[in-house]
Amino acid sequence: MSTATGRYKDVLLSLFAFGSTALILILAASIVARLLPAMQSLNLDFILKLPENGGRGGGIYPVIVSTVLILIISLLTALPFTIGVLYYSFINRHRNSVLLTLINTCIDLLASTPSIVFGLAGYAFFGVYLGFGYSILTGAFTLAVMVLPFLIRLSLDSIHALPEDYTLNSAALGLSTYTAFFRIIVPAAFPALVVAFVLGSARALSETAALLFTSGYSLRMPESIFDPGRTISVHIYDLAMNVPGGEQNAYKSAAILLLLILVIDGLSQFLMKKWREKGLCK
Amino acid sequence: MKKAISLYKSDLEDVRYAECDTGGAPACSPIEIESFSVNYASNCALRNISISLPPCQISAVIGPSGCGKTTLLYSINRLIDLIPEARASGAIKIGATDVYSAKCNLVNLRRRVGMVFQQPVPFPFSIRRNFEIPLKEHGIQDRKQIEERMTQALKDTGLWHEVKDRLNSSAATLSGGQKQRLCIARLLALKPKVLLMDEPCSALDPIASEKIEELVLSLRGRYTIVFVTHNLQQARRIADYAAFFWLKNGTGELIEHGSADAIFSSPQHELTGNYISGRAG
Repeated sequence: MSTATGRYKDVLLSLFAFGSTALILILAASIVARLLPAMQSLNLDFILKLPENGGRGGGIYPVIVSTVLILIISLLTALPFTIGVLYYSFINRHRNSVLLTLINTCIDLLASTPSIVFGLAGYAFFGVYLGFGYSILTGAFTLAVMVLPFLIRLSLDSIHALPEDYTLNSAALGLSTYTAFFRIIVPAAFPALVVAFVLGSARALSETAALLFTSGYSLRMPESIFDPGRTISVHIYDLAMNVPGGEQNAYKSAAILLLLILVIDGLSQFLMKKWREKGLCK
Repeated sequence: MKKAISLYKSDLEDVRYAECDTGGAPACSPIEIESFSVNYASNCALRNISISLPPCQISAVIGPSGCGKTTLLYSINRLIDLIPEARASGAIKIGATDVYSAKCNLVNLRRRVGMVFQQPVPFPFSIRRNFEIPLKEHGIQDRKQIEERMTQALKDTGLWHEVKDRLNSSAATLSGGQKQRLCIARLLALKPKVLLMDEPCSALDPIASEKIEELVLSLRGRYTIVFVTHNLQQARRIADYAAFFWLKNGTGELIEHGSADAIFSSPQHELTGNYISGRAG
């Protein structure tokens, strides 16, 4: 567009683009500014000590253990379902599969379901019906169902982004669908699949509402996955809302949560860089 | 679970192997195509093709775009099964193998009938891994044997000296011509009988293209080669046998076939003559 209106539109849209960047930067700066004092007073004791006085003092060791347990169990639970859907959609990619349409509809519905509803439904099913009560297991399963649509959508996209040529060449070499999928397609999409799981775990880590009803509030050290446990996000919520004088530790916990997400993110970036150097991904 | 699947797979293969095996036939097999037609939904892409392609020779398939040359290649190794709504009728035999028999095992068929595409697509892994995956799929687990077959195939394609020091680096780092030769080597490692080549030079520069041409010529006599090309000079240079296809009302038809000399020097059909002399197509 070379007309005056064209230039006017260019300027306007650029302003919006700059505006959104500025907005994000301001938000990030305000988070860092608030967390900076908390970060300065962080030490290993905070991570490795038991909480005291309802979380006002001491550390968050049990909270970190519960968080890691819930995260790992939920991702491990979601993994086979994700792979199952990917494989099924791969072998049926040229057919009008009723099941695939149904799965897609469910993914959209699940993705737009409020997390508090997941919490209630998760407690009703895993907690009451299956009898796991308030426990790390109930929380992890509920979280798995919650991040599942997210994981499936992201990984489906990463597989669809691969050239159809891979499938054609695999078939022409006489590879079975099973081999083509697990030896060619999944490894070729692996970097993108890792990103999907990193984003999934970041999402799981930041979840609060669904866990309030499922993994419970307990600040005690979980002795098994059938015990209740409190994740960092829930801990922050509780300290900030229900524990007068808990603000200081709430900020410190928030700093830990952000650091955790940064570590996971950094680790995946690092791995990706290594693979790229080896020429194993684009 | 995985064991169960592989058991199931090997059982199936044993039963079907006999039906689809061309092991007893001579080193390369003729391809007999009889009253063969292909429909894409309601469009007829190939109508009533009957032709016999001689063994151990290079057969060039020539004709304008859209006349069904690629469809014909896809029919010979049944890649056409992957295309939704494509329906084939008629018969194709490779040696004693009836390609469209219900008992034909596609995995075995495609090992024996290799295909080279227009756009070379090495898998995005190391050069070595590009050989390992298909060889292991076809039952060759022994490291030494995989190494031998890979080395031989790379030597056959003239790629050995260019890549022997970087077998573990990504195949994506190769040049276009090298990628195409890698794809051909990947096929040769499976010891096929038939090679289908779908314009293997059209995405390459003239020098890389010449190398592929030399390679194809060096493979003459060891494989039955079906070579689809737009490039008439190229067809003239390499072909022993030629088949000319033409588009009639949106449908590909076989107009004329015979020894390459006959087709290029004294075509019987007017359309062939016009196409070869550049007056049509």
